[in-house]
Amino acid sequence: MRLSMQQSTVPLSVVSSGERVKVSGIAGGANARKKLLDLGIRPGEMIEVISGHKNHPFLVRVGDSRVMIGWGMVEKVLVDQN
Amino acid sequence: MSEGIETKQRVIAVAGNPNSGKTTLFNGLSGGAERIGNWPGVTVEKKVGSFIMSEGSKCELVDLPGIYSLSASSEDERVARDYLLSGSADLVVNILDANNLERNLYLTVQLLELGQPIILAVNMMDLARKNNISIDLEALEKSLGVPVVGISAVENKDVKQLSARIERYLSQLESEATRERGPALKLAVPVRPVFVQYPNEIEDVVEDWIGKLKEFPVGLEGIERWIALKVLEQDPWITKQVTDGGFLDAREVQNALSRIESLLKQPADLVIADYRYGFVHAVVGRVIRRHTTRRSRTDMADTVVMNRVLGVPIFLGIMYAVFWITMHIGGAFIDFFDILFGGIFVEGAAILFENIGSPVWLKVLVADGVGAGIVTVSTFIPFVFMMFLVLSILEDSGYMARAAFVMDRFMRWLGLPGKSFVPLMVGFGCTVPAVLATKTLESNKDRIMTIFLSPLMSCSAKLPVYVLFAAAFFQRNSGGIIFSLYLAGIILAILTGLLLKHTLFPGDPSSFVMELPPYHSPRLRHVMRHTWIRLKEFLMRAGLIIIIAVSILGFLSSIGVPGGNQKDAAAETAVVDGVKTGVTESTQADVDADYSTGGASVLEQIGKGVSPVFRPMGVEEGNWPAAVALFTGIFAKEAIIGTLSGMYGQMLGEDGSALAEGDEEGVFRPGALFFRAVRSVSEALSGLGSSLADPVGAQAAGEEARRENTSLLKKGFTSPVQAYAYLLFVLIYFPCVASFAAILKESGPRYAWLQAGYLTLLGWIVAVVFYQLAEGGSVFWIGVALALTLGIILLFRFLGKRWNRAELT
Repeated sequence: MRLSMQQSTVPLSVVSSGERVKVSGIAGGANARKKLLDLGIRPGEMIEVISGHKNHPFLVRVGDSRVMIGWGMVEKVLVDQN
Repeated sequence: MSEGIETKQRVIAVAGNPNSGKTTLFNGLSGGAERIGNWPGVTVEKKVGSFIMSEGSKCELVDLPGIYSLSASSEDERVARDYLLSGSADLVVNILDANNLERNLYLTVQLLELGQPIILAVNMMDLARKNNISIDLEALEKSLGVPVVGISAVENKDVKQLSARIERYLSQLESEATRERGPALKLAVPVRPVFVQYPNEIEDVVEDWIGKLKEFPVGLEGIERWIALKVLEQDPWITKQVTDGGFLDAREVQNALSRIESLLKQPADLVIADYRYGFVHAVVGRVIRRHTTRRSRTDMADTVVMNRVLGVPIFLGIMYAVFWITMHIGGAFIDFFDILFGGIFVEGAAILFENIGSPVWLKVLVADGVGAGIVTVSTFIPFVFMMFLVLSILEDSGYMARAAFVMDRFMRWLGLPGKSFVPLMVGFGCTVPAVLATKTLESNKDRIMTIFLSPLMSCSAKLPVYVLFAAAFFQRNSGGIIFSLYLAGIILAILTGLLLKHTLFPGDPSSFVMELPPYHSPRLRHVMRHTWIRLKEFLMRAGLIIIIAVSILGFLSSIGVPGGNQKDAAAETAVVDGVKTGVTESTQADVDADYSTGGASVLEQIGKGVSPVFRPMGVEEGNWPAAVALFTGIFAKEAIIGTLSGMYGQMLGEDGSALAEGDEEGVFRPGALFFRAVRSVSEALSGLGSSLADPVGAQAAGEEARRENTSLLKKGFTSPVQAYAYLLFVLIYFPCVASFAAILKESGPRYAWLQAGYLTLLGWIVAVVFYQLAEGGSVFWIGVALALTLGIILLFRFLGKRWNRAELT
């Protein structure tokens, strides 16, 4: 939806530490989606990956809060990468 | 107030996000007086207090669990939402964190959609100012149409200001309701504005459904719109109610959902959330003036604490400190409680009963039974208090959430979230606080699984038993032998975790998303209150069971002891003076004394009856006291030592207890008693410096063991292999009554009994396989053990399929 020419949609799991990306969608079931939405991880929101390593939980900044996302869920967050 | 209103007490509920300062505000509003209970049917804590109005009348104040939204996916959320839906609350105080207004308002919007009268308390305004966030509270009030008060919940004057506003708003609602409908029972206004306008595709469905949902039975009136939206959000509980009740057809719901998704290219729940956030975003844009993101101290601390390399060592270091403080600082006060309570309830009671000339059986029952039970409970106090205190400090400081991050990878392999590591670590001190610490876990499944593993973390009460046996059978290698038992426990815990993951609780650990709260220095009042509440709960629940059980034990072991009261008292006095690390020795003293006085008690008969069961693990026919000791060990693990030494001594025809040499005074002197109790604390604390490298207190336990006549053990166990097999069983089998009481309460009877049975059987299997492989050489018994193992796996698999897993999510 919000794709421009040089952007591509990727799962959050491939984003490396320090990058700022825009959430474009959430895959997975309603329950997982609900938990993410509750903490402000929603399409259109800019998030910053503070710490992100394979098989570990990701630490991201959303607005003014820091949110930890378990590895299983990291793959369900879709983001636009420049 | 009008007459009709006085008959019904108004109810105020406090709702808000986790970490928004809700508990502090609740305490401030209630003035500290609160009752703790459980919400019906769940183990979620329910706190109720009173809100006292200026003219003296009271409102009930209910603390709802911290939630992010009204879509219930956890037990906490369901409890909070069901309470709000029931319409029991007349007013909701919604607390928000000023530093994270946007996310916090997401819940507010949902509360507003519910049509509850609410008042907003924007908390941590002082911190927001420091962070250069300026919030226009008046604009917020205008945007949402509800009263808004900016506060810092730790400031008394702010809480007072909020209280006044709540009062004013309540009376305003009261008079509005009275004007419209006469003296009213409900304050809620039936017609509500639509707060968020959703896209037409959604609004059309909602409008269609509102008509069908008119009869939907909920406490709150006029929330058909809200219910319809919840169904579109795929809320499982609401959807089930609506379709089961025949208000909507399941297929109709499904069709609407897929139609919306194909039209809007997004699932309905995402669209609804997006619109709510859009609404919030617009409000925040009008309300927040200046806003700079800064790199806080929390961020800097996190780069170290959550570092990939440093994180694990830091975590282990902190856990070591938790452990050390509990065992040594807490442990230093055990003798204090033992001497003081023992002096009053056992010695004192015995002397009192003798002086008034009551029959011996009554004296035995009250002093040695109930009295000893009270002493046992009292000696748990310092451990449990310290453990809770340190854990509360860690939790309040914000570190606990980081620990979950650090240990996540390893724990996930066991099918558990990273957070579970903390209660397991606590288990090395004592299983009781370990079980209670599982409350911090999110899902029921994670909680029950962690509780299953926690008794395998060898607790401090088992240590004296190991030390005693190691000294008798493995002189030079005793350190290694003890360590191997701890290791065996950890390995079995890992195997049990894997077993549970693949049978009873299949599937990945609940994949989590959690907010990391900012660090702050622990607030003493908050921490102490938290600790006190937990301790009180432990004393009430577990305490009662321990007292009853120890009383029964004392009674059973006393039957067949004709008038041996002098020795009883002497043994108790002697034991009470001793150095020890475990929980209590009054149980042990009972047993020592009773067995030293001769006569076949009921306990002895039980021992002889069950001892054949333990023969395959090397407990020989003449060694029936070992079986009795396992029985008394269920009441308190360290009672095993006392039982064994007492009974072997008796078998040898000696006077038995080497302990029974104390000063029997026959007079009750409270002053001296208290002095002795205080001295025990200073003695224990003076040895702290040398104990840094000894978190479990092996040194002190060794001293205790040396005081026992270890050669007696060799009368019962004829080889080191027999002794080791016995220790393996002691490590694993049935948790002590105190732990079991806690498990029963946290896991419920079904899982508690399954766990106790599993542990006992596992203990038998491990001990038998070890003994038969190392010495016995019986293929038959190894075969039986393996068959039982297979049996366990099949049973767990069967139960995993059968038991309702929905309740575990």
